[in-house]
Amino acid sequence: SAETALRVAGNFSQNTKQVAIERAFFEGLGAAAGVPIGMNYNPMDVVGVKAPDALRMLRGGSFDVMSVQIGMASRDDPFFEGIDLIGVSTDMGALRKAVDAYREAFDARLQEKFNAKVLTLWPFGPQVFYCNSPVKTLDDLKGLKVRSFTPSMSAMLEHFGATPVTLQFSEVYPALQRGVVACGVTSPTSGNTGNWPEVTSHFLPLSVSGSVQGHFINLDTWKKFSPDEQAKLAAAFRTLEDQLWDFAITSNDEAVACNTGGQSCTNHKKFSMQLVEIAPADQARIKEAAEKVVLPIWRDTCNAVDPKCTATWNDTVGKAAGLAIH
Amino acid sequence: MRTNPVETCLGPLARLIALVAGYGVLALSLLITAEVLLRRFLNLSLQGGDEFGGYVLAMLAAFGFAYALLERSHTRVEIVLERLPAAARRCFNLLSALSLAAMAVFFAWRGWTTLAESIEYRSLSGTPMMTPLWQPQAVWVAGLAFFALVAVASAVHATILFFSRSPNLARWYGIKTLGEELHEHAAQLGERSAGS
Amino acid sequence: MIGLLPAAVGFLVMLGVMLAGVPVAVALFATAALGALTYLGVPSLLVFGNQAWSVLNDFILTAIPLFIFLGELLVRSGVTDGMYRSLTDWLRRLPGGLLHTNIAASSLFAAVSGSSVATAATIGTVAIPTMERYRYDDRLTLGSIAAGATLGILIPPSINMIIYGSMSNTSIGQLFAAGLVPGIVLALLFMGYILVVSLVRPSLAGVTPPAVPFAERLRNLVDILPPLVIFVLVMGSIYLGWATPSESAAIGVVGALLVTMAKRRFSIAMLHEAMLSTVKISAMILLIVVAAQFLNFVIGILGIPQTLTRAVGSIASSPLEVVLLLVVFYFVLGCFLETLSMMIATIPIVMPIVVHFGIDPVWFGIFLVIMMEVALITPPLGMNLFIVQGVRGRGSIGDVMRGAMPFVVIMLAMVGLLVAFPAIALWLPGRLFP
Ligand code: NA
Ligand code: NA
Repeated sequence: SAETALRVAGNFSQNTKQVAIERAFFEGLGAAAGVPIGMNYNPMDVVGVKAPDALRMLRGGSFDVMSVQIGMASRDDPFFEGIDLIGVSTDMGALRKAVDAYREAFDARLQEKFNAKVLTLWPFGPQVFYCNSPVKTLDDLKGLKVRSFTPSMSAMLEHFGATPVTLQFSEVYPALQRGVVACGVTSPTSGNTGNWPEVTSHFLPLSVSGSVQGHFINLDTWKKFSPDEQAKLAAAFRTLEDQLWDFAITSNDEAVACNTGGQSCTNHKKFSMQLVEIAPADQARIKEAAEKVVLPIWRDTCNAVDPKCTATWNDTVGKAAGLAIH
Repeated sequence: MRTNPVETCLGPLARLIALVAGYGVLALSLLITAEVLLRRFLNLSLQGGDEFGGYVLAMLAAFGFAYALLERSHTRVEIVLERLPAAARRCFNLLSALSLAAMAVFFAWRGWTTLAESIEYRSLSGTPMMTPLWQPQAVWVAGLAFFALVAVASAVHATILFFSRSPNLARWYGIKTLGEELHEHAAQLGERSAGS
Repeated sequence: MIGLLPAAVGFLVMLGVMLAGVPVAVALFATAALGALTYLGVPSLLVFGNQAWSVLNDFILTAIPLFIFLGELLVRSGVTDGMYRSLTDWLRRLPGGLLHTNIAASSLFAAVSGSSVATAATIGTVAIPTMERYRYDDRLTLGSIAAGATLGILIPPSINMIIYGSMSNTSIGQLFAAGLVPGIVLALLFMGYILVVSLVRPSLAGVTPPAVPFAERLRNLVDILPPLVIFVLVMGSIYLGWATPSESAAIGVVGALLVTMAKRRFSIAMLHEAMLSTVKISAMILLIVVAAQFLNFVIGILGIPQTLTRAVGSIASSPLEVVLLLVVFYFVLGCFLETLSMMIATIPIVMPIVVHFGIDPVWFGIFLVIMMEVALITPPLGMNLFIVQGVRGRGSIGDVMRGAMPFVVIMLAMVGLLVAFPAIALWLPGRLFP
């Protein structure tokens, strides 16, 4: 019935594949977990919810479960952004280690400040560069205009001599096409579904982050379930998390092939961007830039809210990634 | 012809803050044009033009709501109302003033709690400028509070006019007739021709 | 998820509250609040503050006040009289004479104004006294002005397109490009109709205005430059990749400021009048947008769009049938509602249907704008009819209504053309954004 239905705000409907996975999961959740629950699932943009409002809405209880874009939601607490700072985890394996290391502290803070609990943490996939001019190495970014959407990303781009330009996501495609910006950063799959290869020529698989997402549940809703039901639901969400990680890894490999006209392209639109070979030195320079410019910015904003940020991060993500905030 | 006392008291202030919002729009135009030219010719980006634009829009809305109310510019559908007998029309004009006031008070209240949350969390705009969110939101809430003040004053005044059976209820809280609107438009064009 | 019946009741409640003369924004908000309290509980209502901030703090919507400001500056710079006079010099010999000027002047002004109502008021003020002087047929005159001015929202820039683009996540640059060709085609259809009527019944067209020497005509061409220059600035900056659509509006404002200075009309008093007018109109629109987005939030959670999509799916089986259904829906609704409010209130329920049936969102945006143009000149409530009658200030509004009727038929024919040849709308954006 309408009262007991779980109200769920899903991810953005443009992320068609992830939304399809989510939708199928939520609609089958009651049966799969053996817990009697109704379901009211809508992608967040369909119900006019903006990503940065997610944590406030969860706390207020206007949704029971939300698919949260952690980068955007960190507006209300920079601590959460610590899970996936620009330049820290440059491949999916390293990212998973960092996420697992941070999970406990993340969940504790979410419960304490926003009355919500972590169910899943998973990435969209490596955030890579789509450029409309010949870019072979990081040095070629010098003097180019690159779309940026976070403070740490702007700092990193400036570190490499690029000019960060802020643009709304929906304006990036026309901006790339008309040369308002030279490069945009997103995942291979998102870029492919958004047709970015139509307006860009060079594909740099140089990952600066994984764009971590999460499914969080309102704590009051969670406590309404019996411990037995909670265990069943938690197990079900673990399978969702694994599914989304697998999807991020396989689909992005496949999308890279499609963007660059490779043989193994099957599930995405095929384009013919030039695949740029990344020198190992450039990977290392990203990490170095993270330590030099990104971590200090985050340290200052996060410690301003909670002085324990540095210590917590060093003990968890820092240890996993072999980096430290000083 | 006597003027509306609510307008007499609050009109000048409403006009002043509407002008502030107007200068915000002008500043935004100049800033964005500069951004576009710098980006094109000097490969330089000021960054944050879009963020500033968002704040200007929020401020313009909040500051303009009250001004538009005093100018009786919030869209209402007159098609049924103008065909009703005068007594019924009076009831609906009162209903309109009361319901707008209720909504304006709700807006101001929820605006305030939004600001309070931003202060509590020390929220930053999720953009390269890292603006503390309470700063633009405080300006926004001030505008919403002023809108609530004007709307409540108008509703109280309309209620008094309703029970004293004053014909001014229709004049000040009825739907602006097209004649009135065109008169204003003509006045603008006239002032323009006079200047030539 | 609620059924079709409660959804229909909700829609009728909203319509009823609107027709009771309560401000449109309040009607939308009250309906949303009622739905939230009945089905969702208090938390969904309390989230309103954060929702409102997110909606208002949106750079894409800043294009609305910027384009309004641009129009306000231009009207006060006195470009319209000169523009009208110069167009008359060139079009006066065509059968129908000044009637063609009305359409051409409206189209030209539309290229810098985002609103049809502003276009009607501006062109009407210049055209009606001139037309009366040369003794043109009343109905044809009034109809040509009321209908010509509707082009204000079809020829870019267009406030309706900005709102549609922002609510449906459609590229505003593409929408602008898509509106240009249909705008020109519709203007030509209007002129074709005027030409035919004037040839069949020459008495309807009045006295031909006196000839102007060729050299002077050339010199006066300067007067149609300001709107053209600003149009080129705005559209050119988008096309050349200098600016995004919202940024282009700001460039247009700076251009308009330079025009007022060049025409020696700039003064602080004039600037303040333009600002106050901009703030008033923008606030009026934004209050409706905020309330409508909240309604969107509530009906989205209630699953009304899915319910409606299913219902439409059971009546219509092809995109063509959906479009025909929507023509009837918007034609009827357009008789009674103000266009911007109607558009904002219906996009959340119509868009999912459009997407479900695989209709191109850019094409649909143009379709929607043409239906809004129809609504502007259909009685009993047609804003352009009222404005033209108001400017005229004598006789009966029945003259305006009857004069506009043939143009309604032409607009519906235009919708038919758009359905038969979608390329009319999609060719240009396809070329500019391949
Ligand atoms: Na226009
Ligand atoms: Na109408």
